[in-house]
Amino acid sequence: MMLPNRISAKLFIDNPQALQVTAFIPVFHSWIREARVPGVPIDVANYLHVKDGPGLMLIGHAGDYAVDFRDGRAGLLYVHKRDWPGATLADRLHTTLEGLLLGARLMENETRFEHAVTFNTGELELTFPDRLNAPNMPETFAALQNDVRAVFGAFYGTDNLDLIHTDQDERSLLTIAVQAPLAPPLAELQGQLPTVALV
Amino acid sequence: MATEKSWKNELEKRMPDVLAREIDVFEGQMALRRQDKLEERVFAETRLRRGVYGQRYDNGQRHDGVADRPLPYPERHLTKGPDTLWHAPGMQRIKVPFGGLSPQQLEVLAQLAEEYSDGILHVTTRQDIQLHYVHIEDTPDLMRRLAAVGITTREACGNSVRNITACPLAGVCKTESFDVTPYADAMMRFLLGHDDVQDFGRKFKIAFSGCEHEACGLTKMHDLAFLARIREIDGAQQRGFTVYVGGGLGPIPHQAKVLYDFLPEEEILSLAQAISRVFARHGEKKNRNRARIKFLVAQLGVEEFLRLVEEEWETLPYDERWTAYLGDVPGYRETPRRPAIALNGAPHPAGFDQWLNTNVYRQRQNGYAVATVHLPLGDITSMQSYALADIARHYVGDTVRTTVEQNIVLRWVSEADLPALYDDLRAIGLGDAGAGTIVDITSCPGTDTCKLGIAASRGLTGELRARLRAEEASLPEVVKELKIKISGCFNSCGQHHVADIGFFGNSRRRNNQLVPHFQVVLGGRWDENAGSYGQMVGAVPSKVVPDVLKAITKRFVEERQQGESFQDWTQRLGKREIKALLEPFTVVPAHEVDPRFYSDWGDPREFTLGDIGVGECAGEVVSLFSIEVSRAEGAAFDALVALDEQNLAEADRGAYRAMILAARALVRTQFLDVGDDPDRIVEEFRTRFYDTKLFFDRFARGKFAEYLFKRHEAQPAQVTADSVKQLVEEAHLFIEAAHACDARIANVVANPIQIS
Repeated sequence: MMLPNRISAKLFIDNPQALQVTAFIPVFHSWIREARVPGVPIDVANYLHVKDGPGLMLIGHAGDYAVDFRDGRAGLLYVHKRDWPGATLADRLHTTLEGLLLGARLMENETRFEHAVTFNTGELELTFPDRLNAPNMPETFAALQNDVRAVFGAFYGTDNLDLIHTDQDERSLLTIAVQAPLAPPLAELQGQLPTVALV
Repeated sequence: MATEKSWKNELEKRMPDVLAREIDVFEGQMALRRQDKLEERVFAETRLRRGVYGQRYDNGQRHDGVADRPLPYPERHLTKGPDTLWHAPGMQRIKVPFGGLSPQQLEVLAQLAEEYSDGILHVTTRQDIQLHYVHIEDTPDLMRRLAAVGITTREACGNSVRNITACPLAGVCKTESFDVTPYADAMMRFLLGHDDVQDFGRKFKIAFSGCEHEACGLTKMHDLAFLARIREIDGAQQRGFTVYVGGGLGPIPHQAKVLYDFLPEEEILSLAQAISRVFARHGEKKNRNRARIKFLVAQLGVEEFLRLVEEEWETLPYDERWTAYLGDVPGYRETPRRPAIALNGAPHPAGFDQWLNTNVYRQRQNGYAVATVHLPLGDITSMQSYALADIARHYVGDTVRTTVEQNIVLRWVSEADLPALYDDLRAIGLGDAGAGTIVDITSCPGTDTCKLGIAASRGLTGELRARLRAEEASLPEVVKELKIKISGCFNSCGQHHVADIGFFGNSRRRNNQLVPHFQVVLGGRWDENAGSYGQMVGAVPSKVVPDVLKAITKRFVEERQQGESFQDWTQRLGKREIKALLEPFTVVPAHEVDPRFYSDWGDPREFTLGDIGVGECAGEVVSLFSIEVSRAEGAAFDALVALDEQNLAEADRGAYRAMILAARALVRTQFLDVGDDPDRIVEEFRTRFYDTKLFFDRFARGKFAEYLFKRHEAQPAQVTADSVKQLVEEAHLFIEAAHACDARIANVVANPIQIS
């Protein structure tokens, strides 16, 4: 069974033109100070000087957040990288999604931004930074997609879900676009978390 | 039995045996440390010698802007060094000898950054690559993946020979005597893991230069450096080097001294070995602040140092590697990917001319050029790295190098390809002009990640860079040509001493609160191989540094005489005038008036020194025996694991190897040149420790030594689970006895028996 040890998920920002990235610096620091995110958030790393990079990161022990600009698309990325609470792939996908939705809700509710940040819940990018256990091959996508569909289907509804293996370059990380055109807003998605926690 | 999926298994056939074995040993040492069976100081130095470095907050404390708070890492009792928590992320330094990288290596580095770090490769001021926020438990696999493409992290940190640097233009430079690349490569191969570089009190940095008057390899600021020379004897040209020793930056910078005006090429490796021995024997070991070789050279004087070196040189056992590589030197050359075609007059893309002016160097070889890829703050993303690898494959092949100015160069670009290359680089955000100019600021990591950082060197660099970029078009040429280098503290990793304008972080108490400051250092010389060091002229608050820079450059432009350099201008201006120039900027408003002064660039937290930890630059000074016997312990642990896995032959070999390594560790305390041959090691061990009874336990007498002799004399015809289990236990007992022997000897030395 494929069991990736690192999984990342990214939600794209609806209104990137309104984004003031440097305003996130004190926000991320406050997440550490006020323990707004679980685990061990450690520090803030600023990579805004590189093009289409990880932007601004909140580095943690088990997971990192990033106001991320990879592929030229602004979004919030959460990568869970160790200390998995459960052993199954579904558990791991769920942990990652939970971390992402928590961060996204904190950002949408943040009052210190001049313009509120909102997310497009209809599209999510799932990446597996673990080439040993999840090499970027069609076979891996085929092996993972049932679990992905089960976990994400619990949020979005299985009829409202397309999974696309987006980047076939073997050098790249396995990346799956999770598309759910009829997705509910973020608050509603996050509200479902406790009920799907048993998935 | 199904083989577990692991990088170790996946890459087994692609890693050189020696690297694979070293990584296994390190993994074994990690396991021992987790079980508290390896002393934390010994493990710290062991991991440093694998490039596994500490990082800020790894003591588990962080000031969050309001108060110091513990970071609730799991298993806080576990440490990977003194005051360094096991689970705290660290930095992995990766040696890139002379900066040379292939596209494949660049891709693997990018993959590692994505999987184990934060997606960023950072180029250092010594041509290394660093990955940050790496968990120690990921490092063995990270090292295996590097080993599979011919890269080692061995001795990237710790008290040993660090990365060997060289001019990134070596081989294509118009003013060099000859290409120093094969010599730097040979030096790296010769000294890597060499017995004579394992017992230093501090790190040791070596560099190679091809020419005298450019910055080139910065020979004058290195512990040991070689400047290429050609002399003529009887009409024949002979290659050699001017040898420099005892240079270094840091809090107390020293200019290197010339040890030899001309040393023939065939003698440089043996000389480096002799110098290493002198440094190991005579260098300071207790006071780390005076343990670099520059202090030894200064203390002894270069003549006495030379005498000691030559005395040592005479006694070195011959090593065929000293000259074996020379046969390959004449054939060493890089193969261009594309034919040499001059840049034609066709219309160029927008911005190209400026990029051509600052980022392109016309090679000695007609029709070819070196293009500098200007990396902001030395950073490149994993995605950019993949794209750059593709670009390199297309235009230049394997001729990529990192630079000490934290950039990457592509060599052997056909000039006709330059516009297309520029377009390709621009498409991935790497087409910035200004390489080597005032906007191309060098910076150490500073408070972003360094345990010793006082001020935010990267934050300041980012701010200055953004401001200078905005006004770049209107900057006078003489200002554009200036170099800025910034360090987060006085240790000078940002090389602030050798910039026209340098800054290093410090702090001042103002209005009863700490305020981040930067000391201004003016007039250093980058060219002439780091020809002279700048002078400290005063500290200013961090937040006014951009204004200070503007004031200095404005005054320089206004008062500069025809042809006068920045160095000459600062000399002429004098310290009193410079101090007066800075004076208005030293005022710090009260916190309630302007709180910005009380935090650093890019960091909104109130400034504090509370996050400074104990630096690992100096490594841990542990005895040669401790370091060497830890390898034995790693091998013994591997044997145990192999036994558990029923791999009996491997367990047998591991246990035997562990005893040999432990015996060698003892022998090397008396006889450095014992080498690696087991027969020789056992013979020397028997003579020096068994026959003399030094190894004898009060009760067991020589029993533990006999375990080694027995296994050495007869390899078992057949290994059984019982016989191997016994041998593994014997290996552990032998190692314990070696420790006891070392302790007894140390105690005797410390407390000599008084004979009445």
